[in-house]
Order: sequence, then structure tokens, then C-alpha cells
Amino acid sequence: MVEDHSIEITNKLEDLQKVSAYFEELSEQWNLEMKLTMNLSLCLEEALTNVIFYAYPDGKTGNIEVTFGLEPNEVFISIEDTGVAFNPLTDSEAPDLNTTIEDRKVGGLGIHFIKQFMDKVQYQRVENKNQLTFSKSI
Amino acid sequence: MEVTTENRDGFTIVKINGKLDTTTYGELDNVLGNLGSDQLNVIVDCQDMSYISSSGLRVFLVHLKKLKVAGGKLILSNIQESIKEIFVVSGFTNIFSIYNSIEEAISA
Repeated sequence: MVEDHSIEITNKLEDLQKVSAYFEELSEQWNLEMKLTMNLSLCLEEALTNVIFYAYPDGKTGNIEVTFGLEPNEVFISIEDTGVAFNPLTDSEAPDLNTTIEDRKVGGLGIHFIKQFMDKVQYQRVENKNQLTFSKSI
Repeated sequence: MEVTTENRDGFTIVKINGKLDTTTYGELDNVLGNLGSDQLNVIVDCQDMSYISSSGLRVFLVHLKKLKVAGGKLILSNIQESIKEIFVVSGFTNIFSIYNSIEEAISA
């Protein structure tokens, strides 16, 4: 079975809940395990939060297209936005997990989660769009 | 998500019920930010917290730092099995004291 579904949102925080609810429904339809759903929901939130907060620094409204796919061996989520170019795989600093409380920086965890919890993460800049796709084997 | 507080045995117990994410973290941030100067020993009970993302973890870290500077502490209790991995992967198990129950946290 190969299936994919897309939803278009704008860079508003309220839309994050819309996408989360959409994915939760899909994961029920697809009978995904609870842990897999939670990990995918987490990475979805982290990726979208970055786009919503940082991709449109001029305050403009931007469209974000989120695609969810179920393939025989994996589930993937793809996020496409028209904001400023940002490659999360290379443009973000990894958090220092072994430092003391005093030195531990606040932030940087979102992308770390995507890298840690997903099996594959890909980024492409295509025609003024950021395309981030991540997937988990099933 | 709901946040409730109670005082017990010299601790302020802050209970989280629901999802602590980018759309709800502000509420916890307010509650922790508005604690009085006599409420420096805080236990955040996570028994009914069903989900956490980096936005929620950030609130924990910010307030742990503030409370430590003020001579207090922020302890976590009852983290659900399904979200423990998020605390491990974020390295938070190294910087937070985490207990299996509120009672354990109080008597530690």
C-alpha cells in the first residue's frame, strides 16, 4: 500500500494544532504504533515550529505544505515552505548534551530530535522553497 | 493542557495535565515565573503529561537555571514511560533530578 496526503497551512502557531490533529487522525487510519506516532508528531512539531518562527522574519504570511506518506517500509513527512533558505542539517548547532546546567544552552533541541528519532532526513532547496523530508522505517 | 499547583511539605508541586508543546508551554512558563520568593523548591509532576516537545523542555531548563541561582531547585517526578526517551535524547536526565513519585522527590 502506498498512500500520501497533504495539508496546506500558513506560518501561524494556531495552524500547528491543525496539522497535529490531521496527522493523529491519519496515524489512526494507518494503524501506526503509539511510539512511532509520538516520535513523528514530535519531529513534525519541531520542524514546523522552526519554519513558523524563523522562515518568515519579515512578518509576511507564508504557505507551508505538509505531506504525509505511508509506504511499505516507511512513514515519511515532507515539509515545504517558501521562507528564507535554511538547511537544518548544516545550519544549526548541535546541543552540548554533556555540559553542566549553568552552561547548558536553551535551545537547539528540535533539530537534534529529528536527527535522533528519524531514520532518514533530507533537505533540498528547490526553486525558492525549502523541502525537508524525514522518515521512519516500519 | 492544564497546570495546577499545591504546597506540600515545603515544596511547591506543579502538576501538568495534557500536552506540553509549542502552543501550550506559555502557561507553564507563567506559573513557574509567578512563584513567590518562598516557593523555591519545586517539583514538577509529569504523571498526566502525555507529550513534551523542545518548547516544553526549554521551560523546564530556563526555570531550573533561575531557581538554582536563587538557591532553590526544580525536580521532576512521574515521567511517563512513553516520553522518557525524549528526556534521555535531550540529555535532560543528566541535568535534572528525576524521581518515580512525588513522595520520593519530597523525601530525597
